[in-house]
This record gives sequence, structure tokens and C-alpha cells, in this order.
Amino acid sequence: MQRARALALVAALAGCDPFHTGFEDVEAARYYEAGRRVSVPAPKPVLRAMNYNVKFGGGRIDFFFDCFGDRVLMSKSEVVRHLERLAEKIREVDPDVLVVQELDVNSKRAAYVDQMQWLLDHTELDYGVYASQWKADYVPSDGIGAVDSGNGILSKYPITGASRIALDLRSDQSGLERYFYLKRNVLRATVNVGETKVVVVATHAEAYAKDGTKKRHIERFEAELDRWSSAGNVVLGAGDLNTLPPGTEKQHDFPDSVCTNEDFVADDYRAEATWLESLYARYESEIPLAVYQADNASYFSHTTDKNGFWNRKLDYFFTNAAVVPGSGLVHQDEAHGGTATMPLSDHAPLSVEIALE
Amino acid sequence: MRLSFLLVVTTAAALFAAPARGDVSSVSPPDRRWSGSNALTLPRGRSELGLLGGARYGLTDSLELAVNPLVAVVVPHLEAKLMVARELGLFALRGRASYPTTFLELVSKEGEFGLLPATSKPPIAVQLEADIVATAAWFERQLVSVWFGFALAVHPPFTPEELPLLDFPFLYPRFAPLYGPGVPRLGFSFEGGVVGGLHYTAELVAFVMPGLPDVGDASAIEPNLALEYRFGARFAVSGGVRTSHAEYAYGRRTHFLPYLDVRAGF
Repeated sequence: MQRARALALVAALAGCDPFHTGFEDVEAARYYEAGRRVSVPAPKPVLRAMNYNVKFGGGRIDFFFDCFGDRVLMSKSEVVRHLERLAEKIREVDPDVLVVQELDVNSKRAAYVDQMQWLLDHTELDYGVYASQWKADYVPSDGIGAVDSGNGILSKYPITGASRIALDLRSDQSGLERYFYLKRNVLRATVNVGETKVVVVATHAEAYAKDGTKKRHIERFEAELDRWSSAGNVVLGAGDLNTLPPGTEKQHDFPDSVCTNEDFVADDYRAEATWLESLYARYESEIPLAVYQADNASYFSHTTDKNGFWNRKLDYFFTNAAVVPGSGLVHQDEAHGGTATMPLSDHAPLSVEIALE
Repeated sequence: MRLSFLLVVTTAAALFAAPARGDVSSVSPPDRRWSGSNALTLPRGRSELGLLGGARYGLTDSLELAVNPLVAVVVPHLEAKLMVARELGLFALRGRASYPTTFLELVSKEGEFGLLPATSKPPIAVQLEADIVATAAWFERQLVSVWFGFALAVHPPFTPEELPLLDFPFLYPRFAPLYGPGVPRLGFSFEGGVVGGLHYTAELVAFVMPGLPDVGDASAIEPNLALEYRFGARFAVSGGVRTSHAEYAYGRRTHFLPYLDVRAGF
């Protein structure tokens, strides 16, 4: 132990992780609570869940990485204005469990607003856990600066046993790029709905890698579901998997892919057509695969073009519980969910109800 | 904070106006051949060129000029140190003027080394810095120094959107004067010989950075530990670790900067 500490000290002094970007293979997630909690609701036979990639409260500002604009940083008033609209949508859905991706808790681009705490304080959700997927004291590129952004699970019910499980890093980057790049994770936590324990597994898979990293991320997500499912737990997986369901008609050449920089192009999913087959075969999804295959467009959940409309499905729920028939919904617009969600983020939220009894 | 700057200037004026005890050489420690974080200047005609430390020249026996050619390409600057011996001991007034705009424009870019967004519009700015340094020889070949200074920047007003805070470690306190009313600083150092040509420097500088965007009032402390081997009066190699404990908008963080340097004297 003393030798390990000495080595850690030497490593720190030598500046091996000078900008504090690293993570352990498995480490505890960060716990949150709402500033003013209400009493824990009584257990319900049906759990309503919501999944939302909130784009760090960026709304539809045209950021540089989408290649529609040149913005890098937001003001605090912009961030809070966007969060207010996200919170309004979340309150409208009124989920028992909310899984979020791209939530910033301490980033220069989001004016250092702790969005986990903010959402807990402005919704009916009182408990939260967070796992960073991009953390650096300073990203010396494009003026990004300090960043701490990741995945979160928010709940009306108490959360225990939350872990951040590190996913594989990309191998198609230089050492310097990889040092400052996203380090994705699976966030696993147990939501205690009375006596029923629901193991929630959340992730945001790699988007741009060309080296198979995304596939390994999806496989690791599925393995985590399998592990807790086979142990007899109710499991609920959710996330932005950055790939399309099997049987999707349009798989490449999307009209909103305007980047010419290959680093930010995610426009061809043809080689990924089977990557979700196993998940669909072994778990229930919020939208049954046959329903999706019969009508792709009604379940699209992503576009980078604020002037366009959702043109691909990247976001999912998978569970070993029974999905309440017809409860799955992609909140695309007023007709599908009650609110125009295009202005809120570059992803549409999903919701589903699962039976716990 | 402008009062602090005035305090530095008036104290300096009082010290330098006070009656001299004698010539500088009568109170100089034994080795003035190499520059340091003290009130001593290089002797008249002596030059020094360091990779990181830059170029220094003893214009007179009590006035040293300095510029770092590598840094000057991106931050044009000039430093001067005026030394004087007075009844109270050995003092110096250290001043620096720089033009940070060029550097800010260079790092406002897309891609790698873009420390600021490409859309930033740095203002034309001149940064002025001054320190009063007091030094005493507390033992043979051992110097202790303390200094107090102030840095301010003169520039037209700008918004946080036009120039976001440059809070890259180590650059942070040095560019902080641009964003607030000014940066007072306090430092002390111990320098001296260990054995033979081996010398050490132990230094600590504290910065107070009021009124920064995103952060409010912040501070930074920078310890520096270095060892140097001097091959007579002509050549020296050194290595050390500079550390920064600073308060950022995202919390207090510590960063290390190991370094190696060489310098030659003529």
C-alpha cells in the first residue's frame, strides 16, 4: 500500500494526469439530493421512466462541433433559460426515474451551472447520481476550458449502490487527443421503489469512433444488464446508444450531417445494422422493434439541425420487466407528448412505463 | 485595488529617495553573477541568456533590463530592476510592461491550443506590473527576499463574450489583471549555495485576483522549488517544479509544472 501511495505521489508530481482527466475502472458515482426534498412517494405497481439527452442545456444554439455555427460557451442566463424549458418538459412527463445524458455539472461552456442539482431543485425528482464522461480542468482546444459532463439518474425514490463503470477508450486517436477526449461510462444504480429494487443501467455510447469502440460500449452496456437481470433483479437500461435499430430504412447520408471535419461525422450506420439485435431479442424496448420497423419516422429522436426535424433514432430503453403496452413514446412534438421538443435539445426525450408487479 | 498600486509606487519612491548608506557593492552578497528572485541586479556589463529565464543585462551596476525572446514573440514585454542599498537594507523596484493582446489573439482559435474560443475579440491592452523587493543575506551565501507588487491592465472595456476568462493553469494569475481591477501579489524566496556549484531556490508567490468573471474574488499560490548547478560564471543548468494552487470557477485545483532550464552568462 505504501509503495502504491509513493508511486501515486511520484506520478502526481511528474504530472501524469496534470489536468485531472482520468477515472478508475470502477468507482463510486456522485450522489445528489434536491435542496428541499418531499417525502418519498408510496411504491407504485407501474414505474414511469424518461430518457433524455439534454445537450448540456445548450438548447438549439449552433455550436462549433455540429458545424452549424461557431459557439463554444454559453452565458448563465442562456443555460438557466434552457434548463427551465427542460424542467418544464420533465414536469409534464412526471417520471419516477429520469435518465439523462450530456448533463454538465461544472463546465465553462455551461457557465458552471450544476445541472444535476438544478434539475433536482426544479422537478419532482429528489435523488440523483452522476458519473462524469468528460472531465478536465482545462481542455486546450476550441476554447472549451474546464469541463465536467456526463450521465445522470434522477429519481423520486432513494438511490443506492451507484457505480461508474469505465468503458473502453478509443484507439484511433493520438495519446494527447485521447487524454483530453471523452471517457465514457456505464452508470449503474439501484432505485429503491419500496421493497422493489430496480437496477438502472445508463450509458451514452461513443459517437464518432471508427475503431469498433462504439460496439464494445454497447456490448458492455448489455453485459451489465445481463449481469443484474440474471441475478433476479428488475433492470432498466436507458441511454443514447448512438446507433440505429435493426431494420432502419435510412442508414446514411443524413441531411443534417454538414461537418467536413471527419472527427465530428457520424453519418453512416450501415456497418452497425445488427449491433442492437441481441438487446431487442432479450429485452423489451419502449417501442417494440416491429412497431418501429413499420414506421421509423414516428420514433426518430435526434437531429443536429434546429431547422429540420428528428431524422434518426439513437435513444433507447431496454428492460426485463413488462412494458405497459402502448406506453412507450418518443416526445417529438406537440402531437406526440404535448410539447415542441425540437427547441430544447438535439435529442427528443423518450418515456415508458414498466410493470413492477 | 488601485490604492495598492499607489502604495507600491509611493513606498518605492520613499525608499529610493532615502539617504544612501553607501555603494551597492559594499552590501552585495558574494555572488551577483546570476540573476534571481531577489533585489540584486547583474553587475554592469554582465549579460545572461536563459532558455526559460530569458535575456538579462546589467545596464549599470544597479539597473538590470530583461526580456524573454521566446515569450516576447507572443507577449511583447520589457522588464527592469533598479537596485539600491539603503539604511534599512537592500531594496529593488522591479517593473514590467507587456502587451498581452497578441498572445490572446493567437490562442483564440479553433482546434488544438485554442485556449479561448475562436470568436473572442481581445482588446488592445497594456499590462503594467511593479514589485518592491527587499533582500537580506541571512547567512553566508544565503539570501532571503520578500516582495510586494501589483499588476494592472489598461484597456477599453470588454464583455465576457468578447474575451472569456483565460484560466489556464499558471497563465491564470498572470492574465487576471485584464479581467478585474488589478492583482496584488506577495512573494518570498530563499536562495543560496548548497555545496560547490549547487544552488537552490525555494519561492512562494501569492496572488489575489478580485472581480473575475465566473469566479468573483479568487486567489492563487505558486510555490517553486529548484536546484541549479553553476559551472562557474558562464553556464548553469537547473531543474525544478513550479506548483499552482489556484481557485477557479470549478473549484480549487493544484497543478504541477516540472521544468528544466539552462542559462549562460557573459
